Amino acid sequence: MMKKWCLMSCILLLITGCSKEPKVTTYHVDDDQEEIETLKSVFQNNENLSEAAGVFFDHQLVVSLQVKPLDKFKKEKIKQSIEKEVKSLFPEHDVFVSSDLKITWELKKIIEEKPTMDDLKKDLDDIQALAKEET
Amino acid sequence: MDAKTYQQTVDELAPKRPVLKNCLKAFLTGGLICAIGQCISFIYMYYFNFTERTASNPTVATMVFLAMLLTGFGVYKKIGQFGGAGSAVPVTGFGNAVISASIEHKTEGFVLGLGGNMFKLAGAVIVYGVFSAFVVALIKTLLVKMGVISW
Repeated sequence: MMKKWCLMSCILLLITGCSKEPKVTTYHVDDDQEEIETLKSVFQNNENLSEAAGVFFDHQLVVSLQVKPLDKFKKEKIKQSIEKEVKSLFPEHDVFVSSDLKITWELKKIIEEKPTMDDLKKDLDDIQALAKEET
Repeated sequence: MDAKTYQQTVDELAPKRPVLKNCLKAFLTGGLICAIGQCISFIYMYYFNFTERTASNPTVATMVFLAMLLTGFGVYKKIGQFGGAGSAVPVTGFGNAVISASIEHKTEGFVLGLGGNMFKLAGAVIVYGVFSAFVVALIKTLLVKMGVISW
């Protein structure tokens, strides 16, 4: 009985661990569905990602990525390829991409809170400064 | 009895070392220490303004500090007896080496005893750590200058 349960939970964990589509959350200040869908398609076509978040704000686009555990060895390469792709899709936007877990947490917090214009600008500036911090 | 037969007798009489069991114990102890370190790293990232890259510095400092406290209370000795290399290889082993050496030489005075012997064991870690960091940085600088890789 115990063995059966162990096997079952192992299989369940394996299945849930290997969900194909990455979890994508986005927020657009002007609620432009077309831009959101374009961004989402970039993430959903990439099978190395486990999670992604993006926030549009006044010609600014901040994106954060989380890659799947075994793909973490080539995290920087995946980040650069996505950065290139997003920049080519949104040439009029100032694109910022980060693969840091803290940036993902902060972006998800922003998306949940849906702040006003002024707060959002300050939050996004803070995030970008944080990502560039070296010490 | 020549040296060869003597060694044979020793091998026969000495209790067999449980290598596999020791490896498993070291794996579990080292893994647990690393898991605690990961939790501390997440705490720094969640409650403070640290990113994945910058959270490693305060995490290492905290782990070393905790290991130093545990060494002083005599707990780390027991962990070391159980885990062996699993407790010595992570950065906590460094804290343990510093404090255990200073406890041992405390009676010889603060300057020549404590100050002179504190890094008796851990000094090797610092010397080779600094030296290998220097060599790696030198190689990387050369490769960047030659245009093979970028920073």
